[in-house]
Amino acid sequence: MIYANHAATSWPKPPEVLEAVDRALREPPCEVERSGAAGGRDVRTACREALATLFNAPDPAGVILTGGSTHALNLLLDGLLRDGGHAVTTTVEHNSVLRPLFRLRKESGAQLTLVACDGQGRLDPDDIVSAMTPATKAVVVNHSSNVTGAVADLAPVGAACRERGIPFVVDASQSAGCQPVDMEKCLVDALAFAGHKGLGGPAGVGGAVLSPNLRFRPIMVGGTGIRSDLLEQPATLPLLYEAGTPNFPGIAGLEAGVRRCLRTGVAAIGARLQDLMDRLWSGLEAIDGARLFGGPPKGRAAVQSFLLEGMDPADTGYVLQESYGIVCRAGLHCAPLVHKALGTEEKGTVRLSLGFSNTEEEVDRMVEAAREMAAALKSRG
Amino acid sequence: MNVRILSKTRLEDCFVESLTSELQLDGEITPSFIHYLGREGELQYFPAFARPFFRVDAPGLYTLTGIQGNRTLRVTLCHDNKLTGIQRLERLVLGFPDEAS
Repeated sequence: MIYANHAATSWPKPPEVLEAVDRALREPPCEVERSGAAGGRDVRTACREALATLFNAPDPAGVILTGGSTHALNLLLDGLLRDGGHAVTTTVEHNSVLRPLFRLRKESGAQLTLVACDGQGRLDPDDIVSAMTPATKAVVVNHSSNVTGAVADLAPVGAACRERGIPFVVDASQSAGCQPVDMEKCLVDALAFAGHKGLGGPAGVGGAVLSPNLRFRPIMVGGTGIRSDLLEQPATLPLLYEAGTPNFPGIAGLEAGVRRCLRTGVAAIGARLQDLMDRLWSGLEAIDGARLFGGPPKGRAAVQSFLLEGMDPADTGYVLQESYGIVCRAGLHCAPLVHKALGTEEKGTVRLSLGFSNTEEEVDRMVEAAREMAAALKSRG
Repeated sequence: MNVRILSKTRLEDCFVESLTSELQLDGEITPSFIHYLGREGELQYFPAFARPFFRVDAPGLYTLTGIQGNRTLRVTLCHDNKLTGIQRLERLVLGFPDEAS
């Protein structure tokens, strides 16, 4: 089996992640903040430190550990727009951004401006800046598209937001661990990340990384294990946004995955993925009857959407998986608006998404399968 | 013995209107079974694929897809005719003559 669905979730998980999860489940819990079992390692603090280093965030205490990226984005968007106001976002966004925003529009009267991408899913940062108004309370931008692999230029948007005092929220669900994300340099106020994709951790863990001055109403309050005499949620970070017993095994696995990324170097991971992506794109591009989306691969994430002429994308994905043993994803990829821009909203596309564990040989087999299928379709007329 | 449908599992996909199910069969899909299913609509058969794929479009009723050698079929029913579609398909599958006889 060849796994090419890393944009959904990465697989296989690195051995150190498996070991960390296993250890966290076997060893007595160490809850430093909760006066739990003595000894052991404070995995949450270690994880926050690793993540702050990875994203060049100013303070590890601003790393809020959640049940995933969707949870983090709901926390951020609900917190910033619960009382209404104007938000700028883009048509490239995943439903983890779109659905919370559309709910806020319906229930809280929030106003949305959706900045359009071009026909290949690329955003122009000037268009995002132009959409900001004095009433704008948040700008929400996807760093790397899970459909086209287009990577947004964050720095000019961050600078414009900082100048206007508007919180800049970045959805780094796809890019975290695959491409460098520098919060300080790009002036990002809040960043959401998934633990189970490029970071190699288990599903069910992710988070939001906040700049020190960003505060909003939490969506959930409850036990924190310390300061229990207070009948209100403690106002300090990260406790303000973390209520309930944490997912210790997930956090342990995430920390191991992040440290692996740090050891390898995100730039090196990105370069490796770029090589694989170049190989995939040039192979697919040469196939008569293959239509590729996203434009040339340089600077794009390792995600390639495509169609084979004469075949439904659902069938193409099914055949790749069942006939050639290539696991991919067909459909809308939870990002319906970018498919509208690509003209594929009716049936979606087939997406091959690569990870650090993929090899050149595997990429060649993906290309060969697509070539064989396209040739058979052509011969049918 | 005829081919029997052992179970039906609804498959969710990206589209609200989609009515796709996976049908578990009690035997492997053979070339003759594929061609038999093709009687009910337009058959597209790709024997050159690593494992042969087929698709049958029965207009107004269903679209059927599968892989030769598998024990499952995927059926997407037409919204306006879902009951008739699945009944016709079930009858068709049951009516496949025993290959051994």
